[in-house]
Amino acid sequence: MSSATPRINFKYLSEFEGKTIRIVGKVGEKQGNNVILHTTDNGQVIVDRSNNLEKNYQTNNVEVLGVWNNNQLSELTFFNLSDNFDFDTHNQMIDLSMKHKEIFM
Amino acid sequence: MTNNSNENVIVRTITPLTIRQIQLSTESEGNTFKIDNEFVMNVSLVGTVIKVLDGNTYTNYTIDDGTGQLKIREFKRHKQNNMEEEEQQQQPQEEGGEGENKSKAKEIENPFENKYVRIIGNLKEYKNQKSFSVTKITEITDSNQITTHFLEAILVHLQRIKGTLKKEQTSSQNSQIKEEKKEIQKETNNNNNNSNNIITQQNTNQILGLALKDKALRLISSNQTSSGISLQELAKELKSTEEEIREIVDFFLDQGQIYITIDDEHFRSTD
Repeated sequence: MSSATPRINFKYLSEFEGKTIRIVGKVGEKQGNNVILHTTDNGQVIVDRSNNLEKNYQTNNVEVLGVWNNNQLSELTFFNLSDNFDFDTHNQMIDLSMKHKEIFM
Repeated sequence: MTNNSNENVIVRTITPLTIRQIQLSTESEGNTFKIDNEFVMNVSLVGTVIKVLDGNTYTNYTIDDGTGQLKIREFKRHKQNNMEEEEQQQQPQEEGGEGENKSKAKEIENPFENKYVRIIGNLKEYKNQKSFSVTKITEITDSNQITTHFLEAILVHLQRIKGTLKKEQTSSQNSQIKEEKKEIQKETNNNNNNSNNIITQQNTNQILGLALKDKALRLISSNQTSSGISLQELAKELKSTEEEIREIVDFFLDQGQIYITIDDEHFRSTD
């Protein structure tokens, strides 16, 4: 459990306050050091990129790994995802993984 | 197919797992492990490479798949090992400074570092510890493979805990598929937050498509003849069309899990 960084979407964020999580989204507007991420369940997350500014997102879809705190995701690292990434199926998978947490966290 | 003799347990299928499941696996007899009360040996994982340590005879990777972290080892092939020894002898020794270069294992830039990879390997016991040795590691270029891997892991997990894993019974396959459909629908109907079913019919069929793949691989793996099993036989056994079977075998050929034998319509498992 201690080393798990669960994959979640917007609606599960409140359960992971202060925790390190992974969230997939479409890269949106930049606001200084922050970027808006549009999640697989149509939520919007503010990503604080201050700790990782030297690396740029290279694709439109990314998975961001970071700490969720005070309505912001402090990015630790990210992974570029392919353009054909299926948001809907990924969202379904997240819901299923929350139902079967025993093999995920 | 599982050989349940007391001594050598041979498991020919590849089980999609999460690292958390590996951490929870229980040691069993014959140098194997059990997960969900089934023997596992060949395992597939999907995760990111967070650390690489390159040695003379092996490369150690640390993998994180979001459920935990695992150290895995890929042994280098003999030919490649000899070539590297020759190169090292030709290069001048570095002085001072980076003392780590002089040690046997060193951190180097590896093409997989910080990327998503798919790993096929063996889970074994080594010096009373779980040890994972890599058969194949490939970078994931289609990120949907991340999603499908975890869906497969969930499916296999549910199949193993909710229903008995009997050997293939051709007469009851249709009823088995109906039962799996009912279970998946039951799971979704229990959600109080959403009045609609979480999984649409389309995605239920997607998960069932994965069950078909799993069955196809088992059939191929269980065929011991030198010419292997044919496309037609697979279609007949799985009650599917040849086009659907062709898609499935193309996938497994790309993954390196099966190979063609006498012609491109006969297949054997690489296990």
